Amino acid sequence: MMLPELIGQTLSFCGIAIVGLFVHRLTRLDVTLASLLAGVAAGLAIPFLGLDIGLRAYHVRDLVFFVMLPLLIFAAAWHIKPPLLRRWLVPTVLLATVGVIICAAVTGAGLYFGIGHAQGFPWAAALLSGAILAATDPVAVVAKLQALRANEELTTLFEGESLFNDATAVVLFSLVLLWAQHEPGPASVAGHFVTVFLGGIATGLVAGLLASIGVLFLGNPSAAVVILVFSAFGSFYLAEHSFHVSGIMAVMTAAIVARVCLGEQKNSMLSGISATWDWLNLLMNTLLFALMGLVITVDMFRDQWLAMLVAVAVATVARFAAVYGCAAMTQFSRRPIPANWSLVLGWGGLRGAIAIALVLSIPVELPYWWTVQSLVFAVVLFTLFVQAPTVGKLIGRLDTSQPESRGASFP
Amino acid sequence: MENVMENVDQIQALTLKVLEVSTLLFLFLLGLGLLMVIYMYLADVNQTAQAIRRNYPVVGRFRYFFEHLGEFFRQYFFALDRDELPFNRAQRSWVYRAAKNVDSTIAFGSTRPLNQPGDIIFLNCLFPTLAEDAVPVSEVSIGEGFAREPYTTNSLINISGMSFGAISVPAVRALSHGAARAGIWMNTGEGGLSPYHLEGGCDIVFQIGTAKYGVRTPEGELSDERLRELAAIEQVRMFEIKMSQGAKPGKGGILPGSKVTAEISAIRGIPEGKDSISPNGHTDIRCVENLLDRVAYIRELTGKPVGFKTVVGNTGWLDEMCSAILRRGPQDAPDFITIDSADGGTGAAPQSLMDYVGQPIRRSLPLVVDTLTAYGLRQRIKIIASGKLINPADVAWALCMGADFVVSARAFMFALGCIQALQCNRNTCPTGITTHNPDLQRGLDPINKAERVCNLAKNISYEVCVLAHSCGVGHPRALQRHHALLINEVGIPEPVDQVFPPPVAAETMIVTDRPGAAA
Repeated sequence: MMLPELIGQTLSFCGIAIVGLFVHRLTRLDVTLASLLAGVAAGLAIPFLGLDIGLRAYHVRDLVFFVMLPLLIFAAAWHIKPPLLRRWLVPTVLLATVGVIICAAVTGAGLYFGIGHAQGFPWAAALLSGAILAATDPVAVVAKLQALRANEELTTLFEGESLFNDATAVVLFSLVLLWAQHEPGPASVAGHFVTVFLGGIATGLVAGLLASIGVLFLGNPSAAVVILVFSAFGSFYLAEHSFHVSGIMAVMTAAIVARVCLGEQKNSMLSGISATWDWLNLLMNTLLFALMGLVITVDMFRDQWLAMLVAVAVATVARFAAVYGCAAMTQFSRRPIPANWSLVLGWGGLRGAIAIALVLSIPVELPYWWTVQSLVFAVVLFTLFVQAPTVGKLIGRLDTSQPESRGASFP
Repeated sequence: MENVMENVDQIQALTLKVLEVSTLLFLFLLGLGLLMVIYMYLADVNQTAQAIRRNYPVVGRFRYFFEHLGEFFRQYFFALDRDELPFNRAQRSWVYRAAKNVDSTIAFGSTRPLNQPGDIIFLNCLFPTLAEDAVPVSEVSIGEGFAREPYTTNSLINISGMSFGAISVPAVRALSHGAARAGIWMNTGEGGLSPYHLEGGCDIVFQIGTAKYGVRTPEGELSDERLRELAAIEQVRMFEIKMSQGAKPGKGGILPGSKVTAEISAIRGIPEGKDSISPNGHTDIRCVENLLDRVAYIRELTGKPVGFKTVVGNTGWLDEMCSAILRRGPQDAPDFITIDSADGGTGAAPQSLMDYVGQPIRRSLPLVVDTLTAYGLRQRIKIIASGKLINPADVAWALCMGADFVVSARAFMFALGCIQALQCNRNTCPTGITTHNPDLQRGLDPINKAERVCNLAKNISYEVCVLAHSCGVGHPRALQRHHALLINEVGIPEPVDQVFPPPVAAETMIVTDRPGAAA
């Protein structure tokens, strides 16, 4: 492919996302929803106009993994304040490990038995959907929390949980995918998991330190932005492509390490960095939802509507099971999750960018990719259309009663 | 044979694999360490907050690290036996050993300098008391003839006030059980009476603080109904009005709302989650007459002995009070006075108040004893001394000076495992005594520590008896001022009764001779 063509395709793709931003401005819909609509519209218009933007099914995985995920994850990790994260580390990690496993297992089992078609929808497909749907995306909820001036601790719990569970869900997803494609034994899967997981963290540690050293050595705010954006892509590429370990763990670790190491330079060398992450985050989110809009077809809803309904129900139940299970476990820790927070966490567990990214990356060689895709799309749409608008009201209602109960639970 | 060879090969392969992984790991860690150093160098050079780090990158960090560590290591490696304050190692070790009931004898001479002004030396008798002549510690009765239920006990050392909330649940439980076993009383402190205080079955002295926690109406006044309820509990033996405490004479405190949990709010009688303010003094006791009124009122209501606790500062009120008692009659006198030393106990307080305000017990105890004796009230009003009296010699000194009882909080905190980390006010007590953090409280086992509390009380009592016998008296309460010497400013011991002449009892004087009568 020639370079001008590639540029043309990139621009037209970004153009769709920008149309989405216009829709957001004109209709006051959420940005994600607006870009989704723009994508759907483009999906209808492009064949009609006879254009070709050059996007192919086999591009999607690499595009999502090597371009979008590193930036989304780095931005999310960068955004969390280290002291707050440290305070809520235990519940966060619990939700992101045990919670993800509970959520994936419950979703998987629910889907397998709910759909009840072992040939067309085997365990592999069910677990793949479970892993995908375990990743939450709090962008919409965090925006609401900030608008309502809700407690910063709850916001941190949301962001921290989603950051970590994105990482674990992606690792889980790649393991299930490996199993679905090659069917190796459990021992080799476990060994693989450990290598991939720890290898990713090790790569991220080194990358984060190198990035910090680079930033400090160059000592220039613009150069710092260049270094950090480079390290987001670089750590992912290095981990995924060169070492064959988890790129997502690498990016996440690199971002956290860099953030901690550069804490003292927040107001000097890093003055411009948060604006950069803001626009990159916005662009990647709109692109991803536009991409989803391009992929959705009316056929999906016609053919799979029953399975979709099952998926929506199962995913909601699984999310609550995971949150309440973990909340019960944290009652023995120093920082228990209060009951009303569990409700917000459960209902606010929207599925978004990462779920779409993962489902778009399922290879089409697997016969059930279409089913999994429609299930995940259905859940994402449900959370966007139903949960996102109502979670604000829920937070508003619970928030009024919060100061009292907080006083009691955190002496 | 084939099989064995195969196994050997496998083991060799495995070993090689392990070696390979460890080598990789080692190299990785080495590289990571190198990167860390480079990062630290650049971070130090680029930051502007700390000059040392900027001028001496990387190595400059050690200063902060060692400074932090020094705080902990000093006491293990560098502090001498008699070096530390408030309690030095020799004092604490004795308490720890007494609490554990292990041998507390020492050898090869005293490490205590015997020429420090203000120290006490007891005078042994050429003919010490023989074991068969020793008599048990005598009983003292508080409020006899004036309260409906006077309190009689033979305890020498008792547990001073530490409020529930200031010390943790397991600590209160251990103290309660230990006190019951040793037969001593426990003061509740101003935080009200919790079920944990009663759990062990020990005698309780209920302290009424300036905020009247545990006996207050919602408006903060003294509640008659609550007083009657408390008096109905048999274990509650006496009531003590806290006028001031050693740590912060003349100052109240704020209990932050976040610490007012449901349990604390129920026990103290204050709204949950709201800041609670203790006034500097009792709003209903503004003069000596008020105080005597209050004492008589509470005694009448509860039928139990009532006294008050104070740090002696200026002493005008003492004469005024004694004169008022002589005028009003002995039924209005407090049944006891607890004299607190000015140097502060467990409470959190401003340093200026702790360090500079109020008279130390060395001065205030003889003063109060002498004044009461001069007015002929010594028999009527019992005296309880408190303030760093944690070793047997301290207790014996107080008895020599005329105290009836000694109370101590910190001695029993040492028995609970206190290591003098000085963090009582920070919720980070490493031994779980003054913290609400359940992870830290977990270290404190109430069963085991109750045993230690009991051992400590018994061992102090025992050793005070040993001292008394050595001085030639049959029991500790027979100790008098002529049994001790006080080291003067040039390091020479001189008799205590020269420094603090024993008071002349009022009966031998004519009325107009009494101090204060002329005025």
